[in-house]
Amino acid sequence: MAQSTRRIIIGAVVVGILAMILLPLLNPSEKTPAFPHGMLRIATDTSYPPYSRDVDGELIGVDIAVGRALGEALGLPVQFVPLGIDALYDALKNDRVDLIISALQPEDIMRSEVRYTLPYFDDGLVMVSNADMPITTWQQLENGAIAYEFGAYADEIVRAWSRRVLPFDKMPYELPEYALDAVRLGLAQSALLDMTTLGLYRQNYPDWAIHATYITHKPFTIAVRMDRENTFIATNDKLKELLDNGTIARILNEWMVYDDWD
Amino acid sequence: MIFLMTILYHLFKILAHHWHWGIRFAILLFLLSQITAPRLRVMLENPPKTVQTTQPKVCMHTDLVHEPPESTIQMSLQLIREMGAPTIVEFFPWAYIERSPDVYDWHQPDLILKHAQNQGVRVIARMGFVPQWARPKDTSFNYIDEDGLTHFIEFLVDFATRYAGRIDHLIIWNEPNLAFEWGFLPTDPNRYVDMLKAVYEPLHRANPTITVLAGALAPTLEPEGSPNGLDDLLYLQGMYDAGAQNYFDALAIHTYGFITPPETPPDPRLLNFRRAELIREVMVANGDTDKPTFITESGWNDNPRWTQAVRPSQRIAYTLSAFRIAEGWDWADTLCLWIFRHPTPRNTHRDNFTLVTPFFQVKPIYYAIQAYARGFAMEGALWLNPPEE
Repeated sequence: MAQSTRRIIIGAVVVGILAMILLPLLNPSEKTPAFPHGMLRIATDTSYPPYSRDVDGELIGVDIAVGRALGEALGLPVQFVPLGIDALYDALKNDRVDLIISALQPEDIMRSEVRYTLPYFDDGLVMVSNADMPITTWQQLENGAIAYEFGAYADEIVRAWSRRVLPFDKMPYELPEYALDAVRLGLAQSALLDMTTLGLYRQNYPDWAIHATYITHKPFTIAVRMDRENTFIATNDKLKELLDNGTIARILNEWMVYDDWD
Repeated sequence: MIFLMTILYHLFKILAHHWHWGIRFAILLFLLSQITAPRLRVMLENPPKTVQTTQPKVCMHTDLVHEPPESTIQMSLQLIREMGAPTIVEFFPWAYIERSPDVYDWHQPDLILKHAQNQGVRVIARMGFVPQWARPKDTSFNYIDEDGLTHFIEFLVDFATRYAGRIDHLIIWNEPNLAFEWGFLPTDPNRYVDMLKAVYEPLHRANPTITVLAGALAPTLEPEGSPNGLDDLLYLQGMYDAGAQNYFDALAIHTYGFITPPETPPDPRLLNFRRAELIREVMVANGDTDKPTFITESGWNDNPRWTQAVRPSQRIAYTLSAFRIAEGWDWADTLCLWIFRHPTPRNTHRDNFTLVTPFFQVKPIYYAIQAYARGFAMEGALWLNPPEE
């Protein structure tokens, strides 16, 4: 093969690679305003308290408050679009809304079409113990007792642990609140349940001093269409501001007793 | 960016001067890319298994069509057999099998059938999902026009012929009383009955022992003229008015409990488990007294936050009661629960309909149904009494 031909072929390959790298930077989405409709249109499933709920036509909940705070931070009026969970992503894809705020966990199969912001809450399972006897290591579980709700996700985790962790007593209850009662009353060393249930329960026992450790993570994030990069950047930046300046924590504390256990 | 361009420039220089090595390197990369993990060999049970059960109506809706590895298809069906469920309902999307006109990929349905037979589990097939090539651009996968229907009939006949004797129950479409399930067109019983009329005879010619099931209607209270759909009781009457009676051998039914116990009496203005009795009443009123039904979706959800869910303990109790109620329904052949397992987490309340997690962690409801179906005694209380202050 002549050296000049080789150079042409290799040159073409290099130009191709450069084109692939540079072309996305010329994406016209850069020129699209973050919120072209002049308002913040938010899809939410109102069947999910305390995050989103329709009470006699009035939308309330953490997600609603987060959406309003975002609108205020962005200087935009907010319009909520109540939808069933099956319709949320379709509404985003079809430009009926700008964002989904709906106790939404990132879904891997959606990542080619949707960007997810920072999480504003983690509803994972937490191990709860009394503050004066905090459970912080696996060894402390040995011969202790874990309380949990029968049949719930915590039950699955406890069953899995019982096969591979040092021996401990399993204390299943019909309701997760009973599991917390068991810890509070000293019948169990720890309880395993989701952060929202813990936060709601603590509203009734504000003086109960606890220690909590995340065991699993369930981040709630905001979804934005993949091709709306400016929308994503604006939303993510403002959400970060709201997290940093304590607005999100304040909203969460309106609906539950919330501590940042991370 | 400058860093990247510098690297590319040097790469260009090296390849220009040492192109032989460049070709060798490319061949090496190609060969390395061909190395994959060895496929897990799946052995069939020998002799084939049969389902041991005292409750033949127990049935599971499965999601095996989305299981990539053969081993998880087998594992799911083994668990279903061991639970004592002799029947599954599985969706066989047309678009997955006939990816382009007359080009069929039977691999996944063949696998499912092979393992279902090996475990002694009967398969009821739900049919639908229009391929892109069989519908206009920018329509949904539930949109079907006259041309599409012609292709759909051909596909159904091929499917029924191929699996005759192994799949003898075919559900035609799903929840046609919802706009979403009818390609976002206005829901119209006449159009759905046209489909039943078109497919019925060809399917019986393809497999004389086939049972053609009319698609289950979605439990909904949507009124006449709603853009979202139409009340299932009204829609079913509309089907009879359009002359459906002689064009289906059985009716599939969807009946969910939502937040009510299964004993809650039926009421046309309420969506609950015993709404199935109202569906049955419409059939009887139209002379279909002897026509069987198959409840192909049912159950309760135990998501901790969803307003349409119950607690896990309630879900178990309600589900077992529902099976006991269905024992007395001589018109119902099966009571299938939605859904046995999803291959991957859905990260929504949909995960709380399952009996087994994507990671094959078996939930307590599985053991409760197994005890019921196989006549095992459940020993002791399932949970402790509430702590006392």
